[in-house]
Amino acid sequence: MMISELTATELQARLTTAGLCFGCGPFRLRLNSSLRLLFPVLHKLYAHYPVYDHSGVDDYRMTLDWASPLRRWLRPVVRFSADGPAPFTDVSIEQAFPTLEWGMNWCIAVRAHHVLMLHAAVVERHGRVLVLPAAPGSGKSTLCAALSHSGWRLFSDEFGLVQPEDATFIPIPRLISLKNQSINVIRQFSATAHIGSTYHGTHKGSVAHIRPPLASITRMKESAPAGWVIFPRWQAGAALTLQPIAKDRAFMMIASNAFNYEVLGELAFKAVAHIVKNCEIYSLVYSDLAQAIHTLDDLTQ
Amino acid sequence: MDIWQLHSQGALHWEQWEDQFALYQVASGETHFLNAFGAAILQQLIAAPQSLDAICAHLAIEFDCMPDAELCAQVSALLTRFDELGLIQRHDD
Repeated sequence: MMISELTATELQARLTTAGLCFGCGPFRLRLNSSLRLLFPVLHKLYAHYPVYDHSGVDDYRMTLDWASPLRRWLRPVVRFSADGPAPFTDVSIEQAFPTLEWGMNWCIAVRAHHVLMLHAAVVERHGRVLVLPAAPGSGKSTLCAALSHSGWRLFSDEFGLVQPEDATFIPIPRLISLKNQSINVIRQFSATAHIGSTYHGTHKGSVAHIRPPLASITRMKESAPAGWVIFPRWQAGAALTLQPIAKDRAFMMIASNAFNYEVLGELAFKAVAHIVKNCEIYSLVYSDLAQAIHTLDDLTQ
Repeated sequence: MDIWQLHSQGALHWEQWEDQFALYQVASGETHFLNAFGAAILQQLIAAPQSLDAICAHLAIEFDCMPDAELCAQVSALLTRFDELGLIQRHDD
């Protein structure tokens, strides 16, 4: 059963009692919340995720609720927590949903050390993944969103999860988070992209979230090896360039991009070495999104 | 005479791309990047503990250069650096 198959009443009942248990990639999550404004947002943007029953073992238990029930009318702020002290400061009710998204990412980033985690967008086509490692602000999520609506299967816009034993990539098709100008860029790029409300005034500016395409969630248990690693950088007005990167430099760039390279040690070294050995690796500078997609399509034929 | 040797035999993993190398040291959890010259020094010490003069003599053959004071100074500097990184250590013969 998918979340969209729950009625609004059923969804609310789960969120306010034992929790809404659902799957995303290899993880099982449980969410509790009594925030009414969250219910319709979850119903729409989380529509395709599978609902699990309450009896399983959760990877992450999260709560997003009023910071102080007694003061919710005076100072309506909410708090995200996950199996312990709140990792973030409280935020206004208007920022509840983006805070939930950041909270889920935080849970994964600080705890999923059974896999190598790259800070990368990942998409798949013809059985091999294209990995897009990049720093914030480089246009990674925008490019990922465009590829995900151009025939590529979304693995993730944030986490490149690598199985250390064989260096295959594991899908974790979370919502794609768009910021500021990229929101309208994707609205114009794809009429089929399902984009939620825009939240203004967050610590990252204006943010909006794209619901992953249905196929990326129904196939979220299908891993794939890497075929290409592209380090993208959007630069206003730049002519498109696609330059090969030397393997030794690529190794350094990928290892330093990982959240937990040092934690996994030898396993991480071997996994990165495997990726570097088996992938074509390039840097991509672009300003025109459609041209970048076309170039990547040609490269990966 | 000082003899140089690895800190721990068999605890290094290598990756090579043409004349560049990545080296993972299991004991420290550190990854190091080396050029061919640095890699050749370490590989000499993997083969057997050696003196500075013996390492220089091997490298002069491998890189087709003179085993002169300049070469020895370069090798000595790299050995000191590898010592600082915990890759090798020296002891008196």
